[in-house]
Amino acid sequence: MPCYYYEIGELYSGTGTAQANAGNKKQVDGSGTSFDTEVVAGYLITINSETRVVESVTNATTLVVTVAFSASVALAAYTLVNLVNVEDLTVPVFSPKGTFVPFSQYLTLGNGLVRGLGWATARWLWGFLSNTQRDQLRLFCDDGSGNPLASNSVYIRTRNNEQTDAFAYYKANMVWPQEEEKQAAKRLTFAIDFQNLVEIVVS
Amino acid sequence: MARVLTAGELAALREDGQKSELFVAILTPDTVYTARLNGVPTSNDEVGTITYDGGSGTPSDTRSHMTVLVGSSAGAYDKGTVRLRESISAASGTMAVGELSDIDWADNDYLTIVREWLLRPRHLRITSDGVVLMDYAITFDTPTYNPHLYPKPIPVISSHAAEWLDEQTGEAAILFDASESYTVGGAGAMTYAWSVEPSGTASWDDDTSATPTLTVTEAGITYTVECEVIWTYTAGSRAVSTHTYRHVFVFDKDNMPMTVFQLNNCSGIFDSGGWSFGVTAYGEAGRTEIRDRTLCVLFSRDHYGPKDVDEGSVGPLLAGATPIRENIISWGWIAGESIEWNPEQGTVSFEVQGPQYWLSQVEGFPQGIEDTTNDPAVWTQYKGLTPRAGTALFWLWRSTGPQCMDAFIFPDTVIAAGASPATLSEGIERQISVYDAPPMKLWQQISTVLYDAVRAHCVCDRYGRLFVQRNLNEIFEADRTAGNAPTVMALTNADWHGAVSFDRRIVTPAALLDMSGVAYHGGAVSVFFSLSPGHIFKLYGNIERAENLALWAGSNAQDFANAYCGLLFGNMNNEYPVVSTALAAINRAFDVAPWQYATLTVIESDTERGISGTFTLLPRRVSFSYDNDSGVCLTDIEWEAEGIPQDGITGDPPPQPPSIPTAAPPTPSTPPIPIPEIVTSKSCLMCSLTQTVVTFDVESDSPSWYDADPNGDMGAAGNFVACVAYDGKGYIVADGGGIWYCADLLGAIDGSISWTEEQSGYGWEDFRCVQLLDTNLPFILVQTNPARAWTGEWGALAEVFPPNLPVIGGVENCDTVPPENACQPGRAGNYKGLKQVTPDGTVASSVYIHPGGHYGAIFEMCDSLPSLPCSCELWKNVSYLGTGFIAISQSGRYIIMGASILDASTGTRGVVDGTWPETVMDTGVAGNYGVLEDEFGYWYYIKGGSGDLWRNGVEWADHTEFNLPGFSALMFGGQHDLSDDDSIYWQSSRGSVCFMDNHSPLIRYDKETLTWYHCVGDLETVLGTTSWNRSRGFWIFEVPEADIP
Repeated sequence: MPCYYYEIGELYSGTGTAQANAGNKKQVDGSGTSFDTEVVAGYLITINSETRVVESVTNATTLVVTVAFSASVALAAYTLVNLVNVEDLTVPVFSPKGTFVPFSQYLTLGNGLVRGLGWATARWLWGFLSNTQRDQLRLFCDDGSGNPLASNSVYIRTRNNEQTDAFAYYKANMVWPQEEEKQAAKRLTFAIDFQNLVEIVVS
Repeated sequence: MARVLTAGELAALREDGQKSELFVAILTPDTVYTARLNGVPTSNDEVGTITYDGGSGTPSDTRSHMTVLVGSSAGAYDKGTVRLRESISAASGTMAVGELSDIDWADNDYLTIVREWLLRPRHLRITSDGVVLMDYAITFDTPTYNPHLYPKPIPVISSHAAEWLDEQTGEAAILFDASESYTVGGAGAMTYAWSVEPSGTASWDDDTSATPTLTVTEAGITYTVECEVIWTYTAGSRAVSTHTYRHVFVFDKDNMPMTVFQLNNCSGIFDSGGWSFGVTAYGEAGRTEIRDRTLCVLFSRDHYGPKDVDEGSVGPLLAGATPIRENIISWGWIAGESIEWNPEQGTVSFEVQGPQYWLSQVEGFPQGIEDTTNDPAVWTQYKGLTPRAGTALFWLWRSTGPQCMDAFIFPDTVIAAGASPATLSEGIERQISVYDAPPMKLWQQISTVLYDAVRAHCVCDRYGRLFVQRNLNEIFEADRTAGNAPTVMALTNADWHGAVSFDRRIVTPAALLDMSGVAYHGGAVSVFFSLSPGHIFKLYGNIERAENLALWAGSNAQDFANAYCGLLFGNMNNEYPVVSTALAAINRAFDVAPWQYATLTVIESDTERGISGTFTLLPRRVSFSYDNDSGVCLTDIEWEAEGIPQDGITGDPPPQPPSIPTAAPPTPSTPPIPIPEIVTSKSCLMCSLTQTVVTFDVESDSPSWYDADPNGDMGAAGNFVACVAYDGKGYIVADGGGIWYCADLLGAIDGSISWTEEQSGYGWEDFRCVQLLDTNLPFILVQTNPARAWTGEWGALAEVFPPNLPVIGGVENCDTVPPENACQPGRAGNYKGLKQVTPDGTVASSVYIHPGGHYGAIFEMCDSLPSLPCSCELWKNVSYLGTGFIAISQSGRYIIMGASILDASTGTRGVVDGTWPETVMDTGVAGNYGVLEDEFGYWYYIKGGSGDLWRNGVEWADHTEFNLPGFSALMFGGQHDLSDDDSIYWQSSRGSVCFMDNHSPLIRYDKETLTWYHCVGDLETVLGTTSWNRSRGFWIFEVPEADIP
């Protein structure tokens, strides 16, 4: 059981169609689905614009989410986010030090209060990463064919500043660092910025 | 219309975590049909049809008013673009295009018809026999209905759309709302027929509904929605319709719009009439990706909170109760670009302008419609004419606006019933006798007429919807209801940041408003005068005038006029003309149109000046700023406070012009010094198409006429177009070249008269105009070849000076130089105006020579005014003058355009000498105008087309009263000393005049006896024929009686 929940993944369309079970809205029933091969616990699943965290996969056509869906609608296309804890990547990466800025601009209103506007941002910072760890993370910021990108749209779970540093899910733009300090097959002071954060409501 | 924000929307605007992503959708229109030009038109001038072959595609897919690219290679538009006037039906044949002259056609040019509709003018055309054709070819009776009795509907179907496919369903749903479409024609059922291209991945839930939903399933496609709005005015059987088109851009994560750009500016300004925005692009901006003048839609993805469930936009539009197009920020067409060549990263900045800009760029021919009590029978008539009806007809027939955008042309009344001076609630739509749009830009044609008549404004909102409405501050307070002008939101101090600034007037700009206007209803005309605040002006400010307004008729009309005057005056002195706020939210709820309010409550302790109260504010400038890094899109708004009406009272009519004195002047106390008196006789040189005659007693009851060319000196020339005479000398101008000079016109009496060809035309041909100068010395001729009018060489100008006269400028062949160079000050003297008429009698262009200024100057009308050479201060706002000049007044102060009179000293139009409104001017066929003013301030002019005589805006003499086909020219008895004139002469219009029927080529009005005289005399005997062959010109001059044998 990891201590931290710095997770990262990408959005993809699930096979077949799915719906919340009418009698048990924590259960998702699929038609033509391959839950057993496409989904693992911790993934996000979105059906009819509602997103939930997969708690367990029962079989190819049934899975269970952590919080019940609000309604059961007809079978529909669905999307998945293959979130995985960085510590569980093929080449494990130890958890970074995470920082979180909820707003990018603060305006003082006519009544003296302050309104936070703009995108939330987050940063994952490591004192160093091995080259293989770095390359592992790089896979989330390429075009899918191994060609590196300056940024990519990803989903992350990261620590915010609220609820005693709770981890929350976000859609984000992952911005690869412009410069990398190399030394002894390592990358020193390695920081990945996540911009344009939009929190994904999973409950 | 504007709407009140819901509580949920207000809460969203006050949330933390608001941010936006902006995108630009750019139209790359599909190719519908391709073909090749099959032979060039006979001329590049006035091309209205072209022939084509080699067509590829489905002809029935083409639609009227689509854009046709003309290029030297497939798909190119290097030669230009034209409008497809009518859809085509075959792979070869004739293609009807919007009339144009600016494409150099070559055989086998590539023609590419694309699915695009641009704002373009639809020119009228006047045939040589005077028939008015709308949009080149449409006669009034072409349609199967009466187009002015049953005007086509004006479509209102919502703006372009930009949508994202749902990531899960792979669909996007776009709601349209055509339920606000309307007609000015009256009651009837409105139905709809919707279609979409391409249709394979799009479907309607109900393609005949007023509010259908389009569902599309493919991204990376621009769908084109077509809606036929059908108005059935006779139950079930007779209907008229208008087609309109919108684009729907559809995207997904693999088919993205332009994302890498910077929004430089985005604002809508009430006074400018609409919106524009600018973007700097860093890529995706090649000329194949972004065509010149293409459609761009700026849209957003907004979040009103930090979470995904907070995604959504807040906008003002509703379809029924469903918000639509909330993500659309603005749209327009690319009007300009700035390309930066930078080795590190090049950029290109585009300026995108809304419809108001484009309508301000295209020139339109004049529009004139008269009120009629019978069913209209020609394009210039409308039954029960109102500003709204006139504007609607203009919109429908003179532009492609209905195909491109929504237009709300509101009646100038607000409330449909219940007119009551007690509540000052308007209930009567004001009528006008004439809707007269002079030739100028389309936007100015609409807005000027409306503002002059009812002070209505034309403003486009950021959805490109045209609103024709009065200034909200100029409607009666009782009509400023929530239904007419909702309060979108009450601004609290949680809604703005920084500071709110108030510009407060403590010195009023207006001291008094002197208002006058005409209530026209059912042919009856009443004039009203009002003042505000009263006869004594306020301490500060100017005396302002609002003249010739269209006012309300009825028993309370004076009360209405007085109250209206107070309204206008109150608004002029608005205490808070500008209130500025910076809103702390993604707030796109406000716009500069339609009518809407916000309120802002200020308590005494809020400001250092202790102002307090609840301000009712009208948005006058709305701008959005966007920071790419933070995603923050904020709104700044400049407001105008609600105007407070002042008192208005009945004003005073101006004094009448002095009557013509009938009593003998008082005997001078001191006998005058006797001087030799030279008794002269009024004479007249006159020419027709083939004949010239002269008389030396034109003011006698029966003038004696003489053949002015008994020896046939000019026989070979013929086709005379003008003449001038002075000091016993005469000049005849012959079309086809040649100026003929006679040293002694009196020789006509004994047959010794002779003519010599003074100038042969320099090989240019087509002399047209003649004018005697103030100095009685040289005259000039303007020589233009209409065939060159559209080739860029138009404007050939010659100054020709007869022998034995001082040569000021010699002969100037301007044929090979640009017109503006030919008209440099200094070349001309203090000339009067000239006019040039094309051979078919229509006025195509004119040259004006200003009589004032140091040297005087020539103003030359082309398609658009060239850089004007003259800095003469008497001519102001020259760019406003537009085109279509026809004549210049005797004093040089006023010029007549196609159907308008302009005051050249102020650049204003609409009033001549403060005595009568231009709206009573004839608005029919342009041409054959003349204008004179006498020493009493009377204005005379000849109404175009029919050739009636008008004086001060009132028909003074109907040509039928004289059994004439109409008048064509007029002249005082002496050209240069009006005070001595006792006669005015009119010449009958073109065409044969039969003496046997008592027609006359010339009649005279004696201003002392107030009697009309036919100047026929013995002309029939002299000519030896019973007809006078097409009057062309005459000139009144004087010769000493002693010289007459």
